Amino acid sequence: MSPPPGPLDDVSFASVLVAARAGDQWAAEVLFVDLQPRLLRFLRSVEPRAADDLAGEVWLGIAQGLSTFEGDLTGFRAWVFTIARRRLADHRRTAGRRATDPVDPHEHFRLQPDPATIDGARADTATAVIGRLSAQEAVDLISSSLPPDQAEVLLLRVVGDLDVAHVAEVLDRTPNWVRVTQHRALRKLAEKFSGNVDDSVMTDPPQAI
Amino acid sequence: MTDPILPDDLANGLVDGTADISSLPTEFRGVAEVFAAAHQPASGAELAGMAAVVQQFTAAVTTSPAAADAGATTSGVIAMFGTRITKRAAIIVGATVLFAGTAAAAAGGVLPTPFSSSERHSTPTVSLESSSSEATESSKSSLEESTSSTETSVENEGLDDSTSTSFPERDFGLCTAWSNGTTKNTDNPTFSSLATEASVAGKSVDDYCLDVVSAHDANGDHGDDTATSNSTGNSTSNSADDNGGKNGGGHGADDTASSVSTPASVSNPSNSAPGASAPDTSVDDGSGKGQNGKGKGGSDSSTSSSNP
Repeated sequence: MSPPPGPLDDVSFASVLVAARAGDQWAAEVLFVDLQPRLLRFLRSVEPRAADDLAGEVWLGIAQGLSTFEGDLTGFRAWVFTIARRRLADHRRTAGRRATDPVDPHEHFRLQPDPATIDGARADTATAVIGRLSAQEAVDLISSSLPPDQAEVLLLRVVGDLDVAHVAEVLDRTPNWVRVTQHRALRKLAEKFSGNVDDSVMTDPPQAI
Repeated sequence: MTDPILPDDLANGLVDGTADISSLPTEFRGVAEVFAAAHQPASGAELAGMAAVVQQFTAAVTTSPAAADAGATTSGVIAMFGTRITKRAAIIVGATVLFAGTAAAAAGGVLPTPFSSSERHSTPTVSLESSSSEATESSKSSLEESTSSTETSVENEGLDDSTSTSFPERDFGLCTAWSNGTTKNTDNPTFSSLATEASVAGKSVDDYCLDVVSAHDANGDHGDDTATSNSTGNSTSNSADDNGGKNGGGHGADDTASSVSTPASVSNPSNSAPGASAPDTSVDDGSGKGQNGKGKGGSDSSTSSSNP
């Protein structure tokens, strides 16, 4: 079996999945090129110090469960991010048991940016700063500007390229909850990045269902 | 004031990075640019280590094919439930044996009471069963070795109970030595107390020792009779099974030592079954506790293993 000519899509995914299950190296490379950047961007935004190790564990989980997966490309990505979230939860649970966990001060402050920096960045967002953002910087900006649940919804939507239904599946929520949370997140980002959003909108968001 | 949910096409265009920024509302243009940056193609750093990951991935896939994976999962589930069933069965059996033994003992009225004199009479029966159940030469020899000390204690009890004007047990030994001695010297410090006792009784040492030995023989016969009546009484009341179940918990050593006072009971093969139940009970109890602890660990591991 030969590799598909273009990037991974729903048409070529079926053949790639069959080849990957058979242990073909090219199929594994196609899956890696499609998924590894998404995984790293997602994991580095939420757990930058352990992202690479977690990604390796996710690939091991993919290999172990590949024979049992059934679905299309979007479903496959959702399944992969489900594994990633579980590995992330395991990692945090394990790290939480450790009484002392040294933290690099520079990294700590990078994870929790100074609000003044955020405000300064907001003023320049619409002009030149955003245009120079790398993919990881953009993802980090999204993650650091939102509450965890809103950030996770947007990261799964943007980085994971998942639709609302699959995000709801990954997060074990209802699609309506995902839509409402996504709405809040977009409004909050719009306020931060442009400063033109009416404050009353942000102070009275729609209630989650 | 509530804000309507963003239209799906607007939200999808934003998060997909496909929206035309110039056509978006001004407040969302910055968001769209951030999302577009997040959609940039993979960099070389993000794809670093692909060869190693792909090699490990293919190796893991080939070593865990579908059938083997499914089989391992199925067998793991079966093993897990099998272990749980075994543990539960062991716990149930152990609890049942304990409960039944206690209930039978209670029905027989032979539950041990630490301040009751009946315990002393019930112990020979239990030890009879445990000793006869083994019926090995080694156990017999060990039991016979413990007979001497036990008989002494039983005889002491018999003397104390039967003779209100009994002679000191010490005098019996001294009289035995006096009678068997070649030189009977009352100046010997060893026999000074014996001479004193004899003088107090107004007798010679020889006459005093005759009384002591005869009294001791009489008490010794009475003690044997008592032991025989004890074993007979127990067997007649047929509480042997109950005693075995009851006393297996904590009186094993004492009961075995006391039982040897009746030699016939040592070789009695009829009471083997109840005696065997006592150690079985203790073994089941111990294993039940241990497996109960393992059961908790098993449930935890099963929970964690369910994650892919």
